Amino acid sequence: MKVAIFGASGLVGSAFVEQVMGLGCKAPSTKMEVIPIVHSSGSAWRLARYGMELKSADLLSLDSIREAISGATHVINCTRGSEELMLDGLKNLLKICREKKIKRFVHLSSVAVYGDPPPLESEHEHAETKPEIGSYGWIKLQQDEIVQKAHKEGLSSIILCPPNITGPYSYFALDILKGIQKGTFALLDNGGSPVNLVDVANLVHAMELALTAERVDGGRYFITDGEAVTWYDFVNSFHEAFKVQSNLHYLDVQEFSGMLSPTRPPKRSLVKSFKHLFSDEVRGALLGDPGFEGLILGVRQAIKRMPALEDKLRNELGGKIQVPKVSLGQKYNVRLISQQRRKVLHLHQLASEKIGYTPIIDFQLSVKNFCNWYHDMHGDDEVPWNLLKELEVS
Amino acid sequence: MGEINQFRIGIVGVGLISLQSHIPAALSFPDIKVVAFIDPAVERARQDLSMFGIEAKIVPDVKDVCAELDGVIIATPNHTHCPIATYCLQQGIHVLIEKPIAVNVEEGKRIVEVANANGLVAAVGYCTRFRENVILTKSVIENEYFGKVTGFAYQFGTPGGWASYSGYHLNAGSAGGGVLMVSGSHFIDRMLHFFGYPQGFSYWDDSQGGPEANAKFEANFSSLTHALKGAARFSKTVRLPGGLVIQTTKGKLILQETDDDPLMFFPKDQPQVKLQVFSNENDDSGSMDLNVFQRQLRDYVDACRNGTKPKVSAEEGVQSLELMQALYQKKMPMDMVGQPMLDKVF
Repeated sequence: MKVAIFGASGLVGSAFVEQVMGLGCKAPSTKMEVIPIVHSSGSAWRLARYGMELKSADLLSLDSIREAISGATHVINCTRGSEELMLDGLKNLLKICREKKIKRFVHLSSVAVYGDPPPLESEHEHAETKPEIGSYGWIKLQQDEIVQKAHKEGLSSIILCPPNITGPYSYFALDILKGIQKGTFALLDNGGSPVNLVDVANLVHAMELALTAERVDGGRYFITDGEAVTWYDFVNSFHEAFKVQSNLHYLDVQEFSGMLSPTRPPKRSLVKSFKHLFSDEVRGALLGDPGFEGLILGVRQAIKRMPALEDKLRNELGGKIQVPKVSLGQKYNVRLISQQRRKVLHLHQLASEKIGYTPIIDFQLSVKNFCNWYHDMHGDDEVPWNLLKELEVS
Repeated sequence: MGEINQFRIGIVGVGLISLQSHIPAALSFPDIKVVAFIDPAVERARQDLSMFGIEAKIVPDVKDVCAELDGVIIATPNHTHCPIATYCLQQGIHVLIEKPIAVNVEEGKRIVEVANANGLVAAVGYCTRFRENVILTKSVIENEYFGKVTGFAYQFGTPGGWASYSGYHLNAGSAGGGVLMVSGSHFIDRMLHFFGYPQGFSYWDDSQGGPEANAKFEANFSSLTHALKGAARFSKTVRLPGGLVIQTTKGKLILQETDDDPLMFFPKDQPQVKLQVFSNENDDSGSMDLNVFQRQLRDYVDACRNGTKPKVSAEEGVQSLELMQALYQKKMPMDMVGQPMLDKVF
């Protein structure tokens, strides 16, 4: 089996390559050959340190994809990027996979396809998907549909659907830790909601199973750690390693809802457009252009000769003076707190039945791995390393 | 200024650093004329250069334009610095070489020899040395204004980042090393400038056959009056807020890893106070209004014209390379950062 993995330099892609090839570990987990494919060499350092050959490919170029997956029998897609890359790029990738008669296509989706907050029925995969139009979940849902169509057309495919990914390098865990340290994170309603987690090693394990499963149906499968961990449990697990308890903030749902101001796009208004046209910025830019300079200065002189009109225009166009309000409240990371309104715990029961998935790392070990990694990178208790703590707060 | 006084410059390597920094700097001075761009990928260079709307030759090899040049900026993959620089110097052309000066000490020394033999300027592009806050830090350390330095620590880390056109930076052979060489060399240069060459050091990185993505070292320095210990770490896999913290007998100095942030001092005996430190030196030249690449180029061209030493000489470039090479030679393995504990399942 020769697996081409697109998005190999990302969190999941790098972990897959390391785990499958046994890099830095004692033994490879399987005997797969891997072709790591990256979009940009700038983000590929984690894998480059092993001295392995990295291929680069542009998903918007069929020739580039064709060249990159040459010799591969199986393909994994862990790419992220612009909407164009995620949709058109995926179509291109699937087209070449069919052309090259790839035996299995494994696609990484996201629980975001169920919307935010997801419906309670989405503890199982068959629940209705209703992400907000234009959101990340909406793009991921379109991707799932594209993959399912390819499966129906003969490309054996499977979609893995992870929640928040934890373990070493986890952006999610780092975000929370930084939020706690900076005071921008708060537990909502004492953190009693489930936090859906999957350790990156568990996800990689599921990817291996998805590659080798005898039969797949193009379906979407939750891949989780399978433990009912609450937000409080998760945050509290950092306590021993990072002593974060004293920085923790708490909010109730009503307080948090009060902080969410609806953001509506500005209404179309001729008066506002007219005011914009005569704004200092526009006039300033036009004054720099010799063609407009004379015209504007001429109009200005003409208006100055009519003081009443000048005052009227200034009042009409300038409007009332608006004094911005000072924010007195704590500045919170709304995204991370908002996630705690999700009440559903996604279950990986279907993945267990279909591909034999069982988590290989439990919550405690997952946290331990993250903390060890973090301390390896940030450990600063000894002289003179301890001076670096100043950079976090200065 | 008449055209006859213009310094004729060629830019070798039309990659990202040239497009973003060297070319805008060169085009900003009326007494510098960009005569030619040299890049083997002529068509791509032509396309990239179209945004500047300038008329200059684009040729694949510096040999094609030697007779028309007073100086060159060499911004090519590291392993090509030595052959290009020595060739130019042999043709009577001054060189400003992007950091590091070369991929090993031997090549660096060769550049110094050829420059000296021909009486030409060889400068190295450690542009952060031109930061106002770095110049001020050097002065404050030397004058012991905030007390004697007793230790320091530095870090800089980004998850990935800059990507060269050729991808040479992920090849230890063509880059000369990994994160230490690519990101760390700027700090190594400044550290030598501030504290001199260390007497002893330990070094760790996570390379397993490729360029290291994480590296750190501890070093001991001794001056006439006292000893101090310093440490630095660099990462291409995690974000480490960049900056230098210097412990002194009177408090802590903090220099963020930016061009513009002021030097800060936190007095030991007044924890509620932090001081911003600014230079009070008059600079009639207006050079502090320029960005670091403009200041670097100004310094280089002035050195070429006046026969003076550039602010960052090739000799200093070699010294920083010597230290990096010595660190690599003393390498100890860093635990493969980020390796999960899987023993219990495999």
